[in-house]
Amino acid sequence: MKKKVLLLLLTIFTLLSVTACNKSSGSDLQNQQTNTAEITGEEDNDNQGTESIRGEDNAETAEEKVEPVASFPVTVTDHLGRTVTIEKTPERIVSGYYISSSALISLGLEDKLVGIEAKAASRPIYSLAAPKLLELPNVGTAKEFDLEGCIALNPDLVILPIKLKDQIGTLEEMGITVIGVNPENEQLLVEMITMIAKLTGAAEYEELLNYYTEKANELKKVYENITDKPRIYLAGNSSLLSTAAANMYQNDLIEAAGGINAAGDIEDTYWANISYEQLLAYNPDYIILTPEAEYTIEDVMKDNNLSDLQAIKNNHVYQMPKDFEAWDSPVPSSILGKMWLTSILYQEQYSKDTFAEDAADFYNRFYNFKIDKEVLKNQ
Amino acid sequence: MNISNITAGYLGFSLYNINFSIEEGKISALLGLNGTGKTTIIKTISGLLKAKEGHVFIDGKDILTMNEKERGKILSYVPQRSDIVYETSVMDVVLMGVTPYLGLFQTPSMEHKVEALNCLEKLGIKELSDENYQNLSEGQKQLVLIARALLQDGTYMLLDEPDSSLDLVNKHKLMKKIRQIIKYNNKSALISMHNPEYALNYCDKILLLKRGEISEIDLEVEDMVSIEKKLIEIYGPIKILKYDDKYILYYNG
Amino acid sequence: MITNKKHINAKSNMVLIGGLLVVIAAFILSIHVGKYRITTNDIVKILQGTHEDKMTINVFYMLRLPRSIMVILAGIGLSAAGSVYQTIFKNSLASPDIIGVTSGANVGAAFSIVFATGSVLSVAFGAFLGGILALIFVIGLVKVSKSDNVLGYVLSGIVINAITNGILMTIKYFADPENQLGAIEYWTMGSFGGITLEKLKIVLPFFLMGMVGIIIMRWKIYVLSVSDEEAKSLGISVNRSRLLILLFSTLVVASIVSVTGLISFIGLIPPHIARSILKKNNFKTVLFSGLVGAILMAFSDCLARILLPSELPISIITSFIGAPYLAFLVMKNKKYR
Repeated sequence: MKKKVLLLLLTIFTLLSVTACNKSSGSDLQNQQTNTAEITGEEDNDNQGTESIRGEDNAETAEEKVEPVASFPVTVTDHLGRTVTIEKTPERIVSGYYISSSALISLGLEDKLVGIEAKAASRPIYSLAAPKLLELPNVGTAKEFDLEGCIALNPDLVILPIKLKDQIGTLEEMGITVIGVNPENEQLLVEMITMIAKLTGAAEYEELLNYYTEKANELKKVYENITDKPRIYLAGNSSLLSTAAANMYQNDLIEAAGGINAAGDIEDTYWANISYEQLLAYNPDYIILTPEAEYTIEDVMKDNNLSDLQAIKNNHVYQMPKDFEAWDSPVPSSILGKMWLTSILYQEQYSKDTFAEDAADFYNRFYNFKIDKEVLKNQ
Repeated sequence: MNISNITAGYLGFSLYNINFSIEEGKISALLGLNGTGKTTIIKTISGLLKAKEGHVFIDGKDILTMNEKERGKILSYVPQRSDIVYETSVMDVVLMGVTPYLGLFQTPSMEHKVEALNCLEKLGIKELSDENYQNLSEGQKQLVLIARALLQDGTYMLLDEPDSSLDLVNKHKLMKKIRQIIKYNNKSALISMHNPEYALNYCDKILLLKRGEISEIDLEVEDMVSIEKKLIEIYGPIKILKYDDKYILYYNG
Repeated sequence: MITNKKHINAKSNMVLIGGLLVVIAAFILSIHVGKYRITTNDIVKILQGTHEDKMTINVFYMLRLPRSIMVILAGIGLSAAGSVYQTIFKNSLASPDIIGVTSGANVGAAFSIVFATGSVLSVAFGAFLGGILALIFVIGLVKVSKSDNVLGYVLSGIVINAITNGILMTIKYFADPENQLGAIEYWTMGSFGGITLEKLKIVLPFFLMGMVGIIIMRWKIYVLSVSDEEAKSLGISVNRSRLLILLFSTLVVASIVSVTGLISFIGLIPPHIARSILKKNNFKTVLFSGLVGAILMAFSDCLARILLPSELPISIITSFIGAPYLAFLVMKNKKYR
């Protein structure tokens, strides 16, 4: 279902970007938001290009024009379907989810963060892009959320995963502005970024979202004429025999990178456990390990049960780089996961070195730090 | 108390159509060899073992059809032993005796405690009231259970081999005490026991259980020859001697 | 002699009053401890209604106070129920686990996490229902097998534990390993972190119902500490009373764990402590167990709040307190061998 919506959106999206060539790419994004993100309140509306497409809702937009950047109060609908209004630009933000925390960095809001999720030190992006965040008090995990600790930080905006529905309700009762986010696929990620940008008045988000579409299109061009796409087996964190099923974000990742999910017949919504036999039957062209896999490429190469696999024979076993973020999940830098996979599958059209340059450019632009390109080139 | 046509038993052991009566104001001994069903009879009368058939009438009412509470006011049962797992004071053990008289929300009152102390005093163990029941000697434990039965104040007291785990001297002391207490408080009793000698010395009647049938011996009426004859049917060649107003029994085999 | 008796009674009353005072002290400590800074001064002002900061008032009334009350209630409830279980099963290692109540609650919670909405209330409801259903199953099995005695209950408990284990594995198989599996595991570790006024209000009636039941049955609970036959001869309808007592104590346990998750050892250890201090086993021991449980619970929860930057599951702490105490009991008393 979600996949279909996404597909539909992508189609509309591509159509628009092709036809409306005279418009700046920013307007495309605006269009996308009207379709995807459930933003209901006043939106920053400095772009004239959007007027033609959503001329109907003019009552509010008229007064907005006076204030080119976001004007407060702002109202959004979060991923729990709650209507949330924020009165003024938030100065103290708590993020209880690593994806929203990363999004806040990419929007240049790391200085406003006063509390983040637990176990932040295990994610390299913080020490690279915003080491100060590691010193912030943590508000716990989705399983053990620290309500009092969160309130004690006196936040004016709290961003939590929708798993914490009950805690969100409690915080709301206490008069704290809180949104629930559920970045489980690209569409929801874009919605989340937009939502956060609206609530915080961060203008740069369009640049980030444009980058996604730009790159997605570039990738498509790489493999648009390929009919016999390689079959990928994406192995999960816990074991080689857990794999990305059809209804997961990781399935979309494989397809966006120009591959076919070898385990696409499993319709699960989470990592599915299979047997050696099944893996042999899949006989994938590539085996890709997640960045946080608890086993190594060597383990896979040395596994006697697998020696007949096409991927092993051709030495086509790779692990997604783990030096930055979990690119296999819908984090704000997830586009890099797709780009990396394309660079593995179509090395001639999109080389590793070009990818390293692109990744460096991405982190420089959105996260304000310089990555060690050699790390990526040498992998 | 009239026991009429009782059929009862455990798996693999049954007694059929037992009939006898326990006279009010008398102490009856239930005698029989091991495994003949003494305990079965005591437990069936007390309602602890469900009778398959038959009735136990007291004043024309069948006490087996009563609920536990009603029956608890008429019968006081004294088990062979009480396995109390946790530290419990003697006072608390005795106080259990008032359970049939308590309402839904009630616990024993101060008056009940005074009564309980009286019962302990009657048995000469008042000073034990704050002791831990678990630390008492077997004889003392038995006395405490009898005190509890006294507090329970049933017209009939049913004692299941009260002397079983005592030494010779204590057996006699205990039986003497039991007789004294029962007579003094106008109770009626049925006591199951192994040794006919105690029955001869401390009871008014003997109920002999043999092959599922009960025969009676009235110790107050029958002469020695007749008593001896009846006992020989069960115990074989025994002889009863009378010395210093006491009966002595020896096996002449 | 009577004066001596009164003296002993007075002693256990003193112990009870002393316990109550410590519980009150633990409660006062408990409302001070937490990530959100609330001082004694704040509390006094809040109670007088003169506090200025709305957030502090909200935190106090909606989170801190309900949590501290729940901690005390959970301590009292679990330990008093544990004491009741140990008495009527005549076994000093008896606890709600023995007749499958906790594993039933566990399955109920897991079911709600995986197949229902997984919200805290649905989990609480599932756990409550699971615990009660397990008890009903055990009672049914006891009745059908006509083994209406302590052993019958224990064996039926083993059966229900085996069944629930199977169901639990099945549910876990269907669980999403990233989120739901973790949530199931977390539930078994227990926490007061999610207690709010709302949950307290929902749980309280069931808790009180169970506690009032236990209080009504207090004398029968005590008399059931002797053998079934003896209790019966003392005028107790053993089967019916035991069933009611089990129902009431299960109501207490299920109402607590439904919102806190499983809490280890608090049902097991305080009754031992209470018995060893009071040197007796009657209803005062049940009450005192409750007080000891409340003190231990409050202490453990304070640690859970402050030991780490984020909340620690409560059973981690209670296990570290309970397991050594159990080892101590084993070594001290050969009865437990």
